[in-house]
Amino acid sequence: MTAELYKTQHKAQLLGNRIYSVGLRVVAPAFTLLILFAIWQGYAVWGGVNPIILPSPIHVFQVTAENWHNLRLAIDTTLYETAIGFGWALLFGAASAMLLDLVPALRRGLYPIFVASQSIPIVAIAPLLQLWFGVGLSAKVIVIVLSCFFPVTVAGLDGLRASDPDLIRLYRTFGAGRWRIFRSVRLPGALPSFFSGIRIAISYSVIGAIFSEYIGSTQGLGVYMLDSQHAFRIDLVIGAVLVTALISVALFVSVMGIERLASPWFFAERRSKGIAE
Amino acid sequence: MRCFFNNGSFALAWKIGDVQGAPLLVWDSGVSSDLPLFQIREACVSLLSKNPKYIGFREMNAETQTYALEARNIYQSYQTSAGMRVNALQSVSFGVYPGEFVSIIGPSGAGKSTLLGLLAGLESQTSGEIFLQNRQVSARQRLGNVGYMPQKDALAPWRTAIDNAIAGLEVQGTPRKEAKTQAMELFRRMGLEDFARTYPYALSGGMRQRVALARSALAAGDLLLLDEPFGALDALTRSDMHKWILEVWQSMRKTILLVTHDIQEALVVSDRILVMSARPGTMNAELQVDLPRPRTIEIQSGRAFNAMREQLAKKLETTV
Repeated sequence: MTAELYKTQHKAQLLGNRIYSVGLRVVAPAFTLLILFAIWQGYAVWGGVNPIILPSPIHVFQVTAENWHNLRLAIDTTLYETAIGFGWALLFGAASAMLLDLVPALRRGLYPIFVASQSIPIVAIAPLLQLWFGVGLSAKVIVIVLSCFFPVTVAGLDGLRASDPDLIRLYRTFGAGRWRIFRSVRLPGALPSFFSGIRIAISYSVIGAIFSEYIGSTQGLGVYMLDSQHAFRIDLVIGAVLVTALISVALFVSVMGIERLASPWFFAERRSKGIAE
Repeated sequence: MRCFFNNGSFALAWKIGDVQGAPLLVWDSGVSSDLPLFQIREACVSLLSKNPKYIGFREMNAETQTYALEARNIYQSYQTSAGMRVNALQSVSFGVYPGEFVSIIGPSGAGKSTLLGLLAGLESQTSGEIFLQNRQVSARQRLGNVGYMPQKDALAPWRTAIDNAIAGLEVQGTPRKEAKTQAMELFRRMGLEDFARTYPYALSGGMRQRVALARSALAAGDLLLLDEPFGALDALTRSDMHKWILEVWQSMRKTILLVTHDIQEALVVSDRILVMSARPGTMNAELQVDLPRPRTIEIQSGRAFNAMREQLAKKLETTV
């Protein structure tokens, strides 16, 4: 009886803690953001700056809302490019991680090239891609893939390499073959690692998409920013930047959500060890 | 299965088949205590007449006995990174009878784990033969046919206890549902049924080890190799584990080979103890543990037990 009661109380307390920690995670950054906006607003109004050079945040929100129709079209285009580019990057990143893990010769041969590919300034290569592939989607997709496949490859490869050798030995005594071990031991063990790479990649992919539009396109957030800049509408540029940031955060959070659904054990384990999320 | 007599001695018996629906038992005279063979025979006959479940018995001795596992003249050497050739095992020979519980004790570095890895098929021996049920088998043939439990529990953190336990059955193609039924039955016997859906991080060290034991026991065949599985546990949890291992041994009729460096542990669980010397590892003594089971605290503090412990300690001392 008392044990039951204690259990219920304990559960309620745990749930309370959980709500508190989740709440804190939302409230704390929102509060920080609010303070930053307040400082910005104060400076724009009383700091004696030209409102065309530095518009106040409230003004930015107003004009952005007025321009919502145009912005909406730009967002749709950019999101579409991001989705396709990120999809390919994910596919390429995961496939290359597995391939590099399975074939040691490829690891030796390709890994340095992948590393080198990350030091290529995309600013320099993007116009060339445009030249080779035209203004269509393919050049943009290549830019996005180039800018975000690498975290997936590296994190995934690390995860696969770190699989538990004792568990692999045990599976061998079960009579498991290479593929079975890969599927049942190494891949599920590498999942949390893969996801940390994917989290980084998704934020890069939005930047990649916008950047590819900067080089040459007719629509999208990049074009919107460029046009606004040319018209000296700094308020619209800042509005688009804020929207971009919002999109990145939203995508990041949804990846985290999927991660939780895909490997609930990982987060439960971390929580039990008291590691902050 | 063990048959105890009035005077406290016993004989080892195992089922070799069914005759008209009743089990046909084989008595191993070699493991009996101080009773002469004819008395065992008489005792068995009288037991059989009183208990209609058993209808017959057959005597067996070492010559006609089939080993469940036999190693003949095993050598194992490997090359160190410095290019030196190290002999880990030298001329190791021994056999384990079906249904027997044998322990190998030896100082650390004696190559006990190497030997177990060889027997499981994880590595090939440099020379020598290994037999399963009198059939010579290569390392590849041993994989998937010998149960093996490593030192660390090595549970998959992404699987619940029950899903971990069925890992071996899953690899060997048992349908998931059937595998789960089997595992659940064993969980019930091992007091794990309430934790079937728990993830490993939430289990205590002893409980994790119990799940790992269930997983290896369910995996394959009647032979189970245990590589110092209780080394990392505290003394209390360890004696608890001895109970579970004996439960698995008896209820699943396993043949068990346990590697340990703990004399007490070996004496509590085994029918027979093999002593290994250090580097290069070789078998250099053997001891029958003719004590009734369960080996209670009284038995463990008795004279026979202590005499054996002393004997083993001395043997280990001279082998280092």
